[in-house]
Amino acid sequence: MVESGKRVVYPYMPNTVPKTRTEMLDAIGKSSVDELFDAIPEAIRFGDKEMPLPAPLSSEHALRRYVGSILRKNESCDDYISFLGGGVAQHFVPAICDELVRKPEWYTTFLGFYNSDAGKMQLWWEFQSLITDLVEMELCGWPAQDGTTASWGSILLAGRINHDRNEVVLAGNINPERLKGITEVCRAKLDIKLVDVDPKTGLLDMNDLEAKISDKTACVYFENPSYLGGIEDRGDQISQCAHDHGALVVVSVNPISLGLLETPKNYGADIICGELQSLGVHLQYGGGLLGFVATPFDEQWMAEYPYVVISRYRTLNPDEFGHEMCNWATVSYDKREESGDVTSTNSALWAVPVVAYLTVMGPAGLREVGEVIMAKADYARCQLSTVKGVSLPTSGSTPFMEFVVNFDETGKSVEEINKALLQHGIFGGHDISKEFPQFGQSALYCVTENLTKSDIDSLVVALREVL
Amino acid sequence: MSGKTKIDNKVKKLIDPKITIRERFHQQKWQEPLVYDLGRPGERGIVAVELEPEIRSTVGDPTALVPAGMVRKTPPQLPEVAQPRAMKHFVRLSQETSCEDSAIDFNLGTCSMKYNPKSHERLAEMAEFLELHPRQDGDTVQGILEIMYKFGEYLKALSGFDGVSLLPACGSQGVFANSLIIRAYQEEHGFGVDKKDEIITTIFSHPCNPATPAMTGYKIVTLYPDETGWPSLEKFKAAVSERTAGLVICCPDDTGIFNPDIEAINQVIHDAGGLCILDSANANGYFGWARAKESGFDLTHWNLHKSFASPHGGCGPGAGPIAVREDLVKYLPVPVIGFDGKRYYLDYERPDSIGKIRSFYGNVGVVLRAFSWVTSLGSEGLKEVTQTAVLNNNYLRHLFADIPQIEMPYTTKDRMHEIRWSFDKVFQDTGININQITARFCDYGIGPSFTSHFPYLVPNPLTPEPTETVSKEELEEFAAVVKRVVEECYTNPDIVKTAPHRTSKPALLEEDFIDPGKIAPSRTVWERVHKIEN
Repeated sequence: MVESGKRVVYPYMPNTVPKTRTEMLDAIGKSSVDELFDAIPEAIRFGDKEMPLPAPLSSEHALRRYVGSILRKNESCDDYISFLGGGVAQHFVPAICDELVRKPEWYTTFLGFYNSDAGKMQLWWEFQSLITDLVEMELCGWPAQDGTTASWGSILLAGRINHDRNEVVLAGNINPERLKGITEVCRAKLDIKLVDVDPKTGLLDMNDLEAKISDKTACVYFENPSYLGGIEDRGDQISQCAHDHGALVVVSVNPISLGLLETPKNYGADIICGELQSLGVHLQYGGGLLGFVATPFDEQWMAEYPYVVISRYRTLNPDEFGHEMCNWATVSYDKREESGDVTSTNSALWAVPVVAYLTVMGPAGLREVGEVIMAKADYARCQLSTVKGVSLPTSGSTPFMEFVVNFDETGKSVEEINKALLQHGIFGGHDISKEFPQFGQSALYCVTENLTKSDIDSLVVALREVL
Repeated sequence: MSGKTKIDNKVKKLIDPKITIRERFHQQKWQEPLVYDLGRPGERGIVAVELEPEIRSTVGDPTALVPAGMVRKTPPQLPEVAQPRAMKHFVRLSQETSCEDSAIDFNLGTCSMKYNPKSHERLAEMAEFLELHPRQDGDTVQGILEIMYKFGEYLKALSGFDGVSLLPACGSQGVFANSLIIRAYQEEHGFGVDKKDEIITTIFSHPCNPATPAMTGYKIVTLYPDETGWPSLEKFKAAVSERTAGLVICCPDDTGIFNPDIEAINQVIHDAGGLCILDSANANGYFGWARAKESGFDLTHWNLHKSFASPHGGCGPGAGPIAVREDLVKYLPVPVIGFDGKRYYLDYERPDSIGKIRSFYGNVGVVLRAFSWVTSLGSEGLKEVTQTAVLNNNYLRHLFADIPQIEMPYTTKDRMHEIRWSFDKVFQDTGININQITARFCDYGIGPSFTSHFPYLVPNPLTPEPTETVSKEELEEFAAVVKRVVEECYTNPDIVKTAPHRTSKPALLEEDFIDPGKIAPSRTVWERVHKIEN
């Protein structure tokens, strides 16, 4: 900021230069800028008061030093060995993802339109196609804001498709915070029935599912792998049970598992959703999230699909194709309160690294990363089981990337253990003792491809010392 | 349409005829194939990770660990392409996209397109932010919590309110959260949706204003403007009843009109026992000049990706933090960021909270950038943002007086940060509609345009919003392009009707575009619709 006469000149506001300002005011016939605010009634006009904000840090140098110094108080997953998961985790981010996401053409645009943004429309269509290919569905649109938004969006969608029903049967093993969100968002239309959790597997109790499901059930929702880590291998049975009652099946899936694990489509899912952070997006303290909702494709699904969808079209040139939004009239931008959901600013920027990730990984790379995660998680589980006082309560199911570790026999709480692990440079697993008290003092350990054998061995050594 | 006023046209030669228009602008066009069509089978774009031999020898074949029946039988049909070609693909697509950093982009109004300071981007790339897991121990995230807490304090200063949540991930989630708070408040006071089931809004308020209260279980009462451009106080009085749970409204709205009766309107809602939400998506029209509290509102939200200079990201990530008056603080989503004088913390012990609509704590990267922006400006700087934006809009309005075919609907003269213009005279005279006109703008290096939310109350509308980062020269260049294109509508209509000619957009087959049977949202549907053998 440069003082020029009495006025302050702001580097991002060229028209604060006094001469420019004067010329513009003269042109519009005003003697001062204040006159432009006469429309704000005097009684509520705030103009003469100052908002209680700190004095500005006007230079870029001062700003970066100040904000940078606050950020440097943090210690990140780059500084520690992280076993944290529970919905998001530190995965390996290919450099190409970072390179692309920094391009102004991607991050300094808003939604854009076909006339000026044909490239972006093609990228979005490729996003839709790659996601539908990943899960073997046919319809996908803009990303959701995050996986939780995608979950409740999918459930509301199922409620609109199955519109004469007013109940949802939810697996009780989902993240309690996500459950809270789904319950609050959906309760105007749908009642939530929660299915018990089998303590030996962490998976849903089939008998209880059969008891809770009814002809009022709009959909059954479960996650695979579950929040507690286990792979649900009874998808066929669950879907059969749901379909027998006329209910739809909604499955939230971890997409990084899908090179190795079967897509929910092939065990009966009608709607597949999930959190895509694992595919090339940095954690950002929970800010690097984007969800997806994928469904079958026909007139009815298109009419009820909540987000903007891009279609591919033929053009006047036989060898050229175009991509354009095709359902503006059926989403809330046009239908307002009649839409049943809301489409809006989402997480479109992260679609860029996701598309790049799936492209460079390809089917082989995605399979490999799935295998690496599965093997490392299994290795970690085996090693941890050798530590005295540690048990694996949900070992009746197979983990993909996460599993429950119980410390009851150590006499120590997870909180105490995790504090002690910090001294060893380790973020221990997420404490679920309050979320799932039936598992006692337990933590959810997450082992991604990012960790090495040495990292896992360090955890085992540290735990032996700490416990 | 009644109530149109011609622009005051006392000043002549407003648009300098010598202004250079980009006659030879041309966007790059690559005829880039689909990502699926790149490479050859067996190519790969990365060797990302490899399993260490020691682990493999311990656990054996990882596939054997997978429960029976759960191994994927058919690999997903993803591209197989080497990285150099993949990189070219994505860079080429980016070059077929206009952006704030290259084009004149403020014609995408209601979105507050403004410069995104690069210093904020460098801060957001620090590993001390980028690699923070949201479940980390509180002692290791004191820095980011401090920024979130301090930004919450900034928002209190901007609104006059007492409590803040940074959780909502976009504007619509901000309105949604505030609607859920109204429901929680009304239920606690004995007015569930069986008793109070109506939310009032206006047609010039954004689409999420009716959409999200409807998701909350409310019926929507939408008021339409008078000749002034805003619904009269009497209309609000007539709409209010014992069934009124609240109000959601933009002020200023998308016509740039600051409703002069806003305080009285809020009082009418309060008298009926309702709460009032200010949608501050148009905060660029009021920073430093008005606050939600003094205007009589109870709750508000902002769009940090619009007003606060955080990048729009191509359509997000955004952020729609909310602020509420004191007695509504207990309903805020969890967690609330707390500070005990020594330490910042996440407060989950809030039994009356509406809970969550999105995971964790919101789009923290957007908050970080917005924090940097407010920190660099302070109170005076923020006020200057609005003053410059409103001046820019009124200067553009002055220039538009040189184009008598375009009109500013409604009798209210004072306009803040934007105006919804009507090009209907051009349409009536030439048959060329606003979509064709805005397509032609692109041939001169103008980015995407925003016409209006639906329904089109203003016929053939256009809503440019020249924010504070737009220069006088850019305003003049834009006005000159608009003038040129309007002239072309009369003198060379075909060139407008067939636009754009100099962007990468190919002309779609009209018969396909209007046929729902030709919609193809994915590769598989495309191949089926067009009978392409895989």
